[in-house]
Amino acid sequence: MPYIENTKTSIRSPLARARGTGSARGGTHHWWLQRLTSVALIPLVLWLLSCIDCLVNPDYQQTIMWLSNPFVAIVMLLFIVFGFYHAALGMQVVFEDYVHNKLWKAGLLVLSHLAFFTMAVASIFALMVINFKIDPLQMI
Amino acid sequence: MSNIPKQKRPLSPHLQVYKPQMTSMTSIMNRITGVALSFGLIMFTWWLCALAGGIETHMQFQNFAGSWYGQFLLMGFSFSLIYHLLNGIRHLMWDAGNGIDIASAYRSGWLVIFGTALLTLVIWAKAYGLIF
Repeated sequence: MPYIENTKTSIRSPLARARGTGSARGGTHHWWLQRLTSVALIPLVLWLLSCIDCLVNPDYQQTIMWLSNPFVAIVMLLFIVFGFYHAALGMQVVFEDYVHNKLWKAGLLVLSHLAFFTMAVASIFALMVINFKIDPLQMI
Repeated sequence: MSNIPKQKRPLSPHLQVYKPQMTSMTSIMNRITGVALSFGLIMFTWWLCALAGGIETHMQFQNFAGSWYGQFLLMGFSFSLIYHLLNGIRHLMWDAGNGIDIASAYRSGWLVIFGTALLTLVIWAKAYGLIF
């Protein structure tokens, strides 16, 4: 629902209204998504920590076998989605708080969001390759 | 309101004159560990992509992860993850309106600090196969 200001009851000055400054009516959206993803990440991170010996296993075959388990793959996917989203939201606030130069701020915000999105896509794709046992050499 | 002259007004908090408190330190540590974890996700992505790439690329990753600096980074990552997890739960508790008084904030803060130390030790003992 777009916010329509009542010009009769509003206490904003005509100049402020003309400039279009003020609340974008989205103040809690970022904050709420940050909490939502953090709640989702609690069980996911606890699960990851409980699997520490599988995560640090240097053996290639065993790690592939472990990640090929559908349950492990799905939980890992959820961790990727919520984890990267949570990180992107968090880094956004850090840049907004500490980078004051407008150009640098905009550039870093775009760059960090693109980087997190790219890494998430790469991670999901890697997980798909592992799970569907895609061997590039056999496709030639 | 618009005719107030723009002048340099003091900004708070004045970090130079503030005495470090446990509550403020646990707060900034949440941010520092969050940033560290964000960079740690690069290593996580590398790990998965190296696995998908095959045995050779996985070997390259393992050579990095097994080195002293790799182990150091992984230790920092797991410490950050556990701290951010526990302190994040503390923040969610505050968001729900619980334990906001000073005594409770200190109690939960120490719980996070000792919980992180203990859990990080347990995780590393498990990772090296010393327990369980």
